[in-house]
Amino acid sequence: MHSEWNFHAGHPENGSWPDRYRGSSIRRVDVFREVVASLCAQPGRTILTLFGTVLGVAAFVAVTGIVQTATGQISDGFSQLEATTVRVTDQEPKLAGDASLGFPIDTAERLCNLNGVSDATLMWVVDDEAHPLSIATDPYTEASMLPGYSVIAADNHIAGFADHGMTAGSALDAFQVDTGVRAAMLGSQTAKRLGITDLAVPRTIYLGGESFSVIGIMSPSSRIPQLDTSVVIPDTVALGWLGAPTQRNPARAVASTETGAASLIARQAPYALRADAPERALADAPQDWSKATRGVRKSMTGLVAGLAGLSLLIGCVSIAGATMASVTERIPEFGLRRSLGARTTDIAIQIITETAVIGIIGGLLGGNIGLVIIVVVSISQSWTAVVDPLLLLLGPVIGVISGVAAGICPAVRASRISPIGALQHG
Amino acid sequence: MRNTMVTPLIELEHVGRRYPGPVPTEALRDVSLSVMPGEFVAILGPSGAGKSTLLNILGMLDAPTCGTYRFNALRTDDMPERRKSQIRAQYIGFVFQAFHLLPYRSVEENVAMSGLYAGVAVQERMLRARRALSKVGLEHKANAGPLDLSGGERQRVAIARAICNNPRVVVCDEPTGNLDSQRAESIMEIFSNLNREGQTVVMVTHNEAQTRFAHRTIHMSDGMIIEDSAQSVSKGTDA
Ligand SMILES: Nc1ncnc2c1ncn2[C@@H]1O[C@H](COP(=O)(O)OP(=O)(O)OP(=O)(O)O)[C@@H](O)[C@H]1O
Ligand SMILES: [Mg+2]
Repeated sequence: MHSEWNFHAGHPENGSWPDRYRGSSIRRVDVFREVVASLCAQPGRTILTLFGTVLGVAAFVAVTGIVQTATGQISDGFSQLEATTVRVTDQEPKLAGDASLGFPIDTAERLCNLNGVSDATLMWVVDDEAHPLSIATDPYTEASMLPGYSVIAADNHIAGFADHGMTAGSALDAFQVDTGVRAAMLGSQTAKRLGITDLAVPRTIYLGGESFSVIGIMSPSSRIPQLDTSVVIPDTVALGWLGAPTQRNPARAVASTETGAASLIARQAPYALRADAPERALADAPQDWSKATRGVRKSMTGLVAGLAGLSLLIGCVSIAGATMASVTERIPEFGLRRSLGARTTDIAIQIITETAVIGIIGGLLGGNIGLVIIVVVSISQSWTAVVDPLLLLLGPVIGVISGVAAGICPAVRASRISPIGALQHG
Repeated sequence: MRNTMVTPLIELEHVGRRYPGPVPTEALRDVSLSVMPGEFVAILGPSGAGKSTLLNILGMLDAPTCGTYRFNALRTDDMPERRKSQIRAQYIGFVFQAFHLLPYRSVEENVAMSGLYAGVAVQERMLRARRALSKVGLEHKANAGPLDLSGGERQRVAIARAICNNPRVVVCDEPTGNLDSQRAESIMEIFSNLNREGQTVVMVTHNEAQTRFAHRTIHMSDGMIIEDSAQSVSKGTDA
């Protein structure tokens, strides 16, 4: 009865025979081989299982990256502009019996004399909702209120705050301001709104029925964005015509400073303007960038953590659901594996490895799709994409965590399948 | 060639299996049986007689609720599950009525799954799979998918898988139950040949005619062995 087929020659001795593979069980490499074979067996099902993770991780990476990129843009603008701007506001305009301006008429010169100030201007808004001024190109037009547009009184320095000077005509000069010429400069939006594009032909506008000749159109201003939607008239004219600034629209001084000088200027400005009552002149110290963004960065971290948690959950739920269905479908397979000597733990490990591999693949795919979205959005917004490399690592990490977590339930279920029941029918 | 010096491969002593439930079932009662290495045992009996229950116990997929089962003289009642899995992986081959081939793996890969849980390296498993397939005359279908095969061929693949790892015993539950009589006959011939080469086979069948391939026929009814040809008719020799 011995044959060459019967390769184990060892016969029972003392009630046992030597184990051919004592303590042996499935090899680790074979676990992966089985997992890969299972995932490749039904690619459609595997792709479906991947879907949630890919979607979740892609959304997470894209949103986080876009927020990071956008914050980067804001911080660029912030650090250049805000850190070199000082604004001083009159705190007690029009005290009882005080019909004066509040700030000296030579505010700009006084501030420019401070070391570190590049330019400065004095300005105030002369109209408000309570006392609007009509703005029109035609003296007979009645319905000429322009909501959102305002008339600003300023000195001859204000044109220096337009980013690219004048787009047409010329700026108010010191002579025009000092002599109280009825001249006006238009902000870029105002000019567009009034249909005044060039000044080849002299133009006149009517403010509250009073005529002003338009001498120039200013380019947009990033330091004083309000200029874009305003009409600027000489402060001397405004004082004589409408009087001093009101409680609602107090006198303001704006100074551009050299980098790093702003906080010092903010401390000196009140004394330069109102040595007699420095508390009347409140200077806005530019905020430290890192201090200003602390809140933003904190809420960013919260957002990223929340998004990561959400994509983790989506990945987990979708893998768990699909794998649960797959386990039910594969009951006979697990019965067969048990009959081939698989332990319950071998079955559980196979399922968890399957879901972990799906999670990693989903995380990698999702991360790359997210990256593509970031790049596309950045290009369309002409931003420089800012992506933390850690973010790309986070994709597969989220994937593997959600995969392992998702695998627990199906693994327990698959390992509990009774081989007898599973093998009876097929 | 029954040798009293040889330890029985399978030894049941007063084995019972009770399925608990609202109406408890005594699927097996007081079954005593020993199978020697090299035997070909056919188990017959009406539906519900407990044949599958007995086979599952022999294959250690199930455990008796009373009595003792020794596999190769090893008591199985206090054996940890881990050890039983190991014995299944190394020493027991199963053939089921429903084939249980994985549809998305090639014939060869299906056969090579035997030995997977015994820690046999993949090259060795593939080598053995080829050899086992040639035993059942299907080496030319090694790369086919199970779905491309006929029922008879599928069962031959399942037999190849059962014998691939060179088990001590092949346990078959109605292996020809899904096949027509002609295909069933050729499957029985394969088992007969394997047995002639020394393979121990325990097979449940519904077909009285198939018992002619076996040395020994056991009739079961109502959870008990009612007739065992090895005890009632003493055969002096076998072929
Ligand atoms: N999981 C189970 N739970 C409860 N009762 C069971 C279970 N499995 C089998 N039985 C009962 O045990 C008895 C024997 O069943 P078994 O499957 O061993 O019969 P069998 O001889 O293989 O029948 P068949 O020829 O139909 O396959 C039957 O009465 C059956 O109803
Ligand atoms: Mg049965």
